[in-house]
Amino acid sequence: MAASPTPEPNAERAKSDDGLRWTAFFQRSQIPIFLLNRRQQLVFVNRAWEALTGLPLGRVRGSLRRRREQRARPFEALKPLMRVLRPPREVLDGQTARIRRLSPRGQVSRGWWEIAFFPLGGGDQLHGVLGTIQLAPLPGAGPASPLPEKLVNLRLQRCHEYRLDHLHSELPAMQRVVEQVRLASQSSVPVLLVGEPGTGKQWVARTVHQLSEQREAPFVALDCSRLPALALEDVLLGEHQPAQRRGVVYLKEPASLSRDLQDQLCQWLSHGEEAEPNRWRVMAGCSVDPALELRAGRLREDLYCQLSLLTIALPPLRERLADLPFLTEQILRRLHGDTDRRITAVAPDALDLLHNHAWPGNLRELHAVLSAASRRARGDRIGLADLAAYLRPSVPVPERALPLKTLLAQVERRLIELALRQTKQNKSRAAELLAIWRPLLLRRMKALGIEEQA
Amino acid sequence: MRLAQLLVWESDGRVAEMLRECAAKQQWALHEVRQAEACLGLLRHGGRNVLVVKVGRDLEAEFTLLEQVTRCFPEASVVVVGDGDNPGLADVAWDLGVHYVLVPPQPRHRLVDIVTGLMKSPAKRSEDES
Repeated sequence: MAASPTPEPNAERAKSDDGLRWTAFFQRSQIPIFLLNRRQQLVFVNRAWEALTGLPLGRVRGSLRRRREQRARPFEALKPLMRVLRPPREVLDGQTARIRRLSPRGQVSRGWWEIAFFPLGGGDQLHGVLGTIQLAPLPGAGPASPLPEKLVNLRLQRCHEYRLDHLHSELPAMQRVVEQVRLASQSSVPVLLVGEPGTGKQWVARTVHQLSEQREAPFVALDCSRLPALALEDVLLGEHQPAQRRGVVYLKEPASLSRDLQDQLCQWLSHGEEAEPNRWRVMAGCSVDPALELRAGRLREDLYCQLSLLTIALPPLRERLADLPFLTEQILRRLHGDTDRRITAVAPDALDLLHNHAWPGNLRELHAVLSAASRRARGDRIGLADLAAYLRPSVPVPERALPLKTLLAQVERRLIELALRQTKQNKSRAAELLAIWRPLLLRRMKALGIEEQA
Repeated sequence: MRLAQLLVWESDGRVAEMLRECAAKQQWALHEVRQAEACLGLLRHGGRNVLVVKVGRDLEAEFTLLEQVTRCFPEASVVVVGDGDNPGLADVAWDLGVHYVLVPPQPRHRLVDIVTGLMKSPAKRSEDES
């Protein structure tokens, strides 16, 4: 068998000389340059990159891709930088891309980086990615146009709606909520709000924010169950944060976050305020009992511990029906503007009907009911006829008195007949279905005059 | 069953064009609205609604609409698309209660994924699932 041809020594030397020339060229450049191999590992950085980041190649080599086996602290601390240097998908498909990302916290000063990614390779084979970094001005960093006064007023009006007196209630559980809101507004610890869907968790979170010292900063509410992961990551991990000021990020259903995002969020929370003075305050709202989410493995235990430093539990509306007059008044005041008339009250008989409803959708359902009713109402208040039909009882009130005993006998007869029909007249199985003894079934059939059918 | 509605408020039709194919595929009713009353009228129909508002041309009208929609129709999902020149606008939008603010350097094509996600019903998990 012929031996494989050995490479020409001159070709090898030429290749090596080319490499050295390129290296020298990159090192002389004032532009920070980095080189990733096809596994997205950092294999080369120039001096300008080291000056920008403060990190020599020896410390970061090979570390762009997360390696589960590397748990060393230095590696963990580099994660924010590595995330920023990750090429977007189109680059891996062979396209150049220019992207702006917020510089990672920690080793470098805050600002925007404009990173250009150049895929290296021929045909379908990607050999690596060359990247350059330019410092970019913060979007809107120059003298931004002042906001129109109307916008400022709109924001102030909305923010003023989140007040402690709007949480007024006779219910002790809600009075506890008010105390907890006061407590939460005096610190910056994460807050976890727990309650059925529609109980007003986000409203309470906004109230905490408005009472706190950070009220001027924005309140960003993110629906983790519906927004795509990349959109969430942009806000949570610093690639796109409004206005560089402290604010609140409210996570609706944090158990819906991907495992990766939960992991990153947990690490970010554990860094603490001392490491990052201008950081988000995190609040979260769970409509499912967090204990269930933990048991099901949907929520990380350490993230739950971080989020639940202060937990506020909101009662369902059916437990605070005494607050209905106050709540309806509040909601009607907010709805003013959607109709031509100002609806100020609910008629007493309509209010009685509202009291008799179970409110499975809680405050959100109450809002929807009052919103629809206020559009139907003709005067300045909502009457019985304006309320949705499903609120009215479906069982008609009988015109004559019907003794309870007779009514119960009718129901019992109907159930036995149904059970017998379902089991094809097999009395043993019918008794089992009705969860009674067979002899009892026979006695009741005789007492009710139910004949056995063949 | 009422069709889900995708409402787009803008002056040049570009955002609507970006979402048209997705809307057709998902069978959403796509409405390009330029009058606030028309927008509110469509929202009164109920059902699943996503409103996308491109801001920058007439800030007062745009944000008045945002304020009204977030106050009177909290069940509607609202996305604001801006050009990033004034980060204060994003702050106001977030504080009014919109569901997302998309500004540079985030790529515009992400809007399709965001709208698709918001069109989903909120995840409901009950104790039975555990």
